[in-house]
Amino acid sequence: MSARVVALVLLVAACSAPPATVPPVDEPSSIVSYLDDAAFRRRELEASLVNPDNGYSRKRLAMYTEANWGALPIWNPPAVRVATAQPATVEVAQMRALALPSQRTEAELLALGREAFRSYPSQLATYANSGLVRNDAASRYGLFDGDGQLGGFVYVKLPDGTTSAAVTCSTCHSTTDGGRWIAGRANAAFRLDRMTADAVGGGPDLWGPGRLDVTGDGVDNPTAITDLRPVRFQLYLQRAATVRNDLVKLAIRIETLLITNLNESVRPPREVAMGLALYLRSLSESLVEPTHEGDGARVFARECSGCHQGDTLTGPPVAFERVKTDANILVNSERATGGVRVPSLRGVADRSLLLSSGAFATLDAMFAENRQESGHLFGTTLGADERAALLGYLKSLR
Amino acid sequence: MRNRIGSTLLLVTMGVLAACGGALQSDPNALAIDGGKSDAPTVRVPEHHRASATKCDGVRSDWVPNISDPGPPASCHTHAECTQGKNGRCSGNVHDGWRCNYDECQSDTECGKHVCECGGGFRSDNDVCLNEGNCKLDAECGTQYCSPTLGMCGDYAKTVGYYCHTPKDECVDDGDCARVDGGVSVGERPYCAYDPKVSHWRCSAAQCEG
Ligand code: HEC
Ligand code: HEC
Repeated sequence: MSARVVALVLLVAACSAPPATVPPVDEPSSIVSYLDDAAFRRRELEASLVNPDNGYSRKRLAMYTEANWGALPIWNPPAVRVATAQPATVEVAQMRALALPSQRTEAELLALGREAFRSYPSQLATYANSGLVRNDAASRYGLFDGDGQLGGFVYVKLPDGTTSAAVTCSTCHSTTDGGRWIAGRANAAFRLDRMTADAVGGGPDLWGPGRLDVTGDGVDNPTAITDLRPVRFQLYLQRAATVRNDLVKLAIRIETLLITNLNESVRPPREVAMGLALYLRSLSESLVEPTHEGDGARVFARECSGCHQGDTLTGPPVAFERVKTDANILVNSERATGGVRVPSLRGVADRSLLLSSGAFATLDAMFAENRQESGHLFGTTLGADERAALLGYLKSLR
Repeated sequence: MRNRIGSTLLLVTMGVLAACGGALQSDPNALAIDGGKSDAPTVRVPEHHRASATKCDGVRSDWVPNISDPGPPASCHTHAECTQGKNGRCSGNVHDGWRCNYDECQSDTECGKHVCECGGGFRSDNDVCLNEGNCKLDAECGTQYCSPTLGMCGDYAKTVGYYCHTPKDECVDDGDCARVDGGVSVGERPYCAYDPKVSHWRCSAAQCEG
C-alpha cells in the first residue's frame, strides 16, 4: 500500500463519513491480477455491471472474453502530439509508440497513465484532419493550448503509411485556466459536433459545447463531458450509474470503452488501461477538503448531504424520480440502470457544465431563486441569506 | 445518437425534401448489376461503389423553410438571404435550427485529392468536397471497388470518404453486419465501414468516445 493510500485511509477514517462513501483502497495485488488473470478480469467485469440487461452491459458480457475482445491485436501506434504552433504539421519523424514499462509497479504504471492521458490515441478522428489545420481551429472548436499541444489531439501513423488525427483523454477531459493546463477538468468549450460537420462541408451545431452523444441508442441525447478529478470518490461511474467503481473496475471501464471507441478492431495494452485508472484516481489530490464550519456548510448538511454524503460529497445512486433532470440521458439510454449517479461536488466550483445535460453553466444559475428550468430543484426555494451561504460553500469547493 | 438514416427526424426532412421537387440528386453510387470486374469474378460487387465520376447537377431543393419564432437557432429565414456562395439555401429543420449552406463543388477536380459528393452536405442536400479517402473511382482499386463509408465516430454525417475494398474485408455491405457481436444486437444497427486502423472494411457500431 502506498503512503498516499495510507494517508487517505487515515483521513477518511478520521472523519465521520458514512461507510458507503469511503473510497476503496487500491490493492497492489489487484493490479497484477488485472494484468495477468483473465478469469479475475471477467469476474470483476461482471461485478461492475449494475444492470446486465442494458446495451452497455450486454455488449461487454458477450465480448469481454479471451476468445473475443481478448484476442484482438494490441494497438500502440506511433503518435505525436499536435502542436499549437500553426500551420500544424505532421511530424512523422517524431512519432513514437508509448513505452510500456518493464516493471509493472504502481509507480511505473502511474507514469505511463500520465503520459497516455495526453498521448494515447483513444479514438481515431479522421474528421479532425481538415479542421486542425485551420487558422481559427482553436476558437472554432474550443481547443485549448495544453503546454503547446492543441486540444489534446495527436497525429498517429496508420498501417498504410498515412497519418490521421486522433483524440486523447485530455481532448475532452482537460482544459486550461489562466494558461495553466488542468488534467481531469472537462473541456466545456469543445465542439466535436462542429468538427464532424465541417469535415463534410459544415452544418448545424447539434450538441452544444462540451457535450456529445455517446450512445448508439437511436435517441438524440448528448451528455456533458464529466469532471474526472473526483473520479476516485465516485461509487458509480457514468451519468446513469452504469458501472461500480474501484481501481480494477475503472481500468476495465477504460479498457472496454477504448475497445468500442477503437471499433473493436484492436485493443489497448492493458498496462495503458490500468495506468490511466491509476492516473485518474490520483487527480483527486488537487481538490480541497470541504469545510464543516459556517452557515453554508450547515445549510448543505441539512439540504444536500442525504445524497452528496460525507467528505467525498457523493453517495449511492438515487432513483431518477428524485432528481428528474434529463430522462433521455438517464432513463431512455443504452446505459440506463434506473439509478442516477450522484456526482461528487469536490471541485464543483470549477465546473461549467452542471447536471447530465450541462443545463447550467454556473452555480448561481442552477440555484437561482424559483428558477424556471425543471430538475434537481433542491436548494432553489431557500431564503436569501441561506442561499448566499450555500453558494459561498459550493464556491469554496475547488 | 441517431441511426444512419434511421432518425425519424432525418427521414422526415429527407422525405420533405424529396417530396418537394427532387432535392436529392442522382446517386453517384450506381448499383452495379454486372458480375463485377471481368478480371476478378470472385470479388463481390458492393451495393455502393463509384464506377465513374459524376458531375453534380447543381439542382437544389426549392422547399420553402417554415421557421417558427421562437424556435431553434435560425441564422436565416429565406433562401434569398443566402448569397455568400453558390446555390445558397436556408437549410435545416425544427430540431437542428436553420443556416445558409452552399454548393462547394460540381466535380472532383474542385476537391483536390477527394470526391465531390453530390448532395452530401451534413443533414442537407448541398454538394460538398469530402476530406478523406484513398480512392475516387473503382479504377484506382485494382480488382476491388471504391465505396463510400460512414465515419468511425457514430454516423452523424453521411458519407465521409471513399475507400478501396480489400481482400481482408470482413464485410462488403451494411447487410453483412446485421448480427455482429456474437448475436447480441446492441444499440444501433452496425454498418460496414472502412477502418483505417486496420486498413480494411469492418462492421462498425462505434460511437463518439465518452
Ligand atoms: C470525445 C470526448 C471524450 C474523450 C476523448 C474521452 N471521454 Fe471520458 N467521457 C466523456 C463523456 C461525454 C462522458 C460522460 C458519459 C457518461 O457518463 O455516460 C465521459 C465519462 C468518462 C468517465 C466516467 C466518469 C464518471 O465519474 O462517471 C470516465 C472514467 C472517463 N470518461 C474516462 C476517460 C478516459 C480514461 C479517456 C481516454 C482514454 C476518455 N474518458 C476520453 C467524453 C470523453
Ligand atoms: C435526492 C438526492 C439529491 C439531493 C438531496 C441533492 N442532490 Fe445534487 N445531485 C443529485 C444527483 C442525482 C445529481 C446528478 C443529476 C444529473 O446527473 O442530471 C446531482 C447534481 C448536483 C450538481 C451538479 C454537479 C455536476 O457535476 O453536474 C450540483 C451542483 C448539486 N447536485 C448540488 C446540490 C446541492 C447544493 C444540494 C442541496 C441544496 C443538492 N445537490 C441536493 C442528487 C441530489
